[in-house]
Amino acid sequence: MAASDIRKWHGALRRRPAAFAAPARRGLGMATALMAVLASSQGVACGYHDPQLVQRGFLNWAFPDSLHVVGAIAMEVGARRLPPPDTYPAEPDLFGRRYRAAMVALKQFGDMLAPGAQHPVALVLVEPMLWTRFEPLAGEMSTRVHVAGAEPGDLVLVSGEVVIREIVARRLSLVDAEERGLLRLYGPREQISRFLSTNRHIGAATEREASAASGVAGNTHVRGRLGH
Amino acid sequence: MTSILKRATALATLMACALPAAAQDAGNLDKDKADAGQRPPAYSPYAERNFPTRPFFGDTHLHTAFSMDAGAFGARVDPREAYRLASGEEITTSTGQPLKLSRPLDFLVVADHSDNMGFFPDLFAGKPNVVADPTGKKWYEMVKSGKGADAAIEIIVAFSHGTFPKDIMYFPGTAAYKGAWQETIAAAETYNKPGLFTAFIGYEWTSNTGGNNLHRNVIFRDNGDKASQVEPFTVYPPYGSDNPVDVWKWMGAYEEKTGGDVLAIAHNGNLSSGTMFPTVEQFGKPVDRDYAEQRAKWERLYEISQTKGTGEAHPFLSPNDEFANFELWDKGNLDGSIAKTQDMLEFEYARSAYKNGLKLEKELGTNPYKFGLVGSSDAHTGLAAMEEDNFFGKTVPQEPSPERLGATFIDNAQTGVKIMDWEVGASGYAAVWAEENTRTSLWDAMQRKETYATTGPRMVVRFFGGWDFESKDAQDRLPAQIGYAKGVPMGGDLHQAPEGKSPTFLVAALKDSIGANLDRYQIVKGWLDAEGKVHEQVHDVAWSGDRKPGADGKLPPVGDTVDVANATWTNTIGAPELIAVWTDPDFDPTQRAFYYGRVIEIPTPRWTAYDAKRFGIKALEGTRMTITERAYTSPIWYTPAG
Repeated sequence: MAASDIRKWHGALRRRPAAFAAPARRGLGMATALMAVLASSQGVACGYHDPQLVQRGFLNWAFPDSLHVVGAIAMEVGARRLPPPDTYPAEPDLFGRRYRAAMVALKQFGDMLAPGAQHPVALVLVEPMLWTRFEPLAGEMSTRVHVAGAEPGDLVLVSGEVVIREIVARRLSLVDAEERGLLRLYGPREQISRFLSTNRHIGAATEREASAASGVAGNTHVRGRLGH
Repeated sequence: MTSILKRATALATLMACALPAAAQDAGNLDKDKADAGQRPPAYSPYAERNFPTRPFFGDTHLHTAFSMDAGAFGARVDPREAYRLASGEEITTSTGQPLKLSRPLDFLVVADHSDNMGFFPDLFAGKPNVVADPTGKKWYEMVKSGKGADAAIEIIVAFSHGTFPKDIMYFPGTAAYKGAWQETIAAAETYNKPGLFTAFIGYEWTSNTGGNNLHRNVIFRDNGDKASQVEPFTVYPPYGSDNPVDVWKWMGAYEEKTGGDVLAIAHNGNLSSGTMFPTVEQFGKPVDRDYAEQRAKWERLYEISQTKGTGEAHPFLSPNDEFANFELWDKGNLDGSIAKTQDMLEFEYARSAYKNGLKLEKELGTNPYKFGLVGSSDAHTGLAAMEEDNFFGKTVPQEPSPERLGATFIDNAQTGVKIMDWEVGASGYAAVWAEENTRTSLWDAMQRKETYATTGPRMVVRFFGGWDFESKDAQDRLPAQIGYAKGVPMGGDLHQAPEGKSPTFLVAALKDSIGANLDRYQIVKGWLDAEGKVHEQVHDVAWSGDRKPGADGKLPPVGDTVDVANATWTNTIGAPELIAVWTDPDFDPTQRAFYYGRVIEIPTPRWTAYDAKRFGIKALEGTRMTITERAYTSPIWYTPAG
């Protein structure tokens, strides 16, 4: 791919709706630069030019085995334990429907998180490579969808759209998702442990399941907000 | 008299002295050796058999995480894991899915791109050559501390600004590159088990100028002691070149330096914008005798079927061949930047190249396109998994998932070239008739072109040509014995037809033991007439059932048992074995010709049907859901006298 092609690709992306069409700026820069490397090295041998997929591929190196989430989702869909993803078929999201649906689910997910986790959390949905940050602010979790990526010190979560949707619909608990490989965490061990213990109940269908998950039978568990 | 007697005595003495000492001492004579020339045939029909008795199946074109693009798209399977899978073990793929082949392969060539080989894994593994450099060490530590994305940006900015540390640049001649190549060799040496599994040393030279595919896979006959004396030829100047002629020069230099042997296999003429099989000029130089001789010398095989389409024939070039429209990628070049035009097709497909090769042979004295055939994958996953019910994609994003049935592979808005993921084929494998499963035996078989391509299944196919095959030979239970005795195998040559004789062919095919029955065995003939025009004709030679050709000479279809919704089929049609002798009814002994075999299975579910069933999703409109798998033998060429 020549430099002129990369410029054309930039132009094409600018013309597409912001939602889902354009990766975040920093990711865009990385993907563009990576494409330049690939093109300049003539290492692009297979006509595979989607920068979103380059970003996803790089995720598998920066966060080792993060793409195992893809395989886990595939196996769960195959076993009918998860519904097929909303991203099929991969038509252009011209009116931003899928992006809006993802944004709503991510905000709901953010509302479920316990702000007492203390560390900010960055979540990437692998299908669109959409980054979201959840930051405890003033007693609540602030959710910012479509950020550039994780910030230093963030706990990183890797998952898929259908997984987050199932969690917010209370058909899948976070702890189950983690155990089934549908959600992977990256960061210091202590941070991961604290996050899981604080949030293991979210997505559970009933209070009893939530209590069982939290290890405290019969208690009403605070879900994501102080003073609830 | 005295002088004559003296001379005779001298001669007798000389002859006596010249006689082997053993002959003078009968006690040391080896009776077996002495009687060998007069030994009667052994009772065992298999004793002293000296021809290949089984095909070995493998992949001559697999990429792993060592390839820059494969790594960039998330491949984490390295050469060692690739060999483990191919040799029968179960591994975990880059997307975390367990995978095992239905049966081990017999051989594998890990053919990673020579440009930037090994960069990704070395960085993330903190290889000594990387961390020895202060900047490399910094990047590695950033990765380990969870700042891999930040490291990636720094790396790429440094590369594009020309500030990338010289000591960790992955160009030939650098320590970094040497390390990657040595690891490639070491992996092959570790997993090469003569007699059990062959791991060839190899790489892909990836000429891609203007998006036009002129790639070649280079395969060494040799072990690491020779291969490690060189580094792969790349594309970027000043170390490399995008001109195939320069790859041949590199190959010649390798052989001269080491005494070793290499061959090259080109692939994907269908993505070359008409430049794969030139007849007039290439890279500004004429296709002359030297070009023809060099190409014929170094490129003994061609990869006719792989994930990015098949390259045997095209319906535009072969309108009378009802099987020509098969798993085609004929919309543009490799990156979709140049849309296909019909004038390109003649120079992109194997059958057309064979025909043009006859013309060039007459003109130049050498046929540059006298290649044998293999299939292989070109997978960029480290996974040589090309079975329809076990297809793990061409790239990591195409590993099994509900998305891959609907995703786009190439979409070039300017040219309108669009290829969907469902168009990627679960193909193919190379079948090699060799005496034993060793590097030398397999490579020698490739060199003499005793090979065939399959689109994935492992049917066993024989193709012999000669002057004296008879119908009853097809009834013999040892057809190979007859084939080698009375003719030449696939890849061979027939010359100067005996007076009054036409070439006869003994053909045989056995279905894949866990696969589908066979529909038919065809022979494709091409020839050059007296006016210098080329022709082709497809003949149905053996087929299942009692079908009879119609008035148009075409055989009725075999039928279809595929249940697409459930991705199943039955072997209630077709035949498990086909064998026949066929004589060319239109042979002209004065005309150059080629003949190759094409074996076609009954219809079976394509990987798309398995996916739709597995994930409970509906395929896109127009998705191919069934396939008729096939095998293509290397040709047998006929050259007339003079």
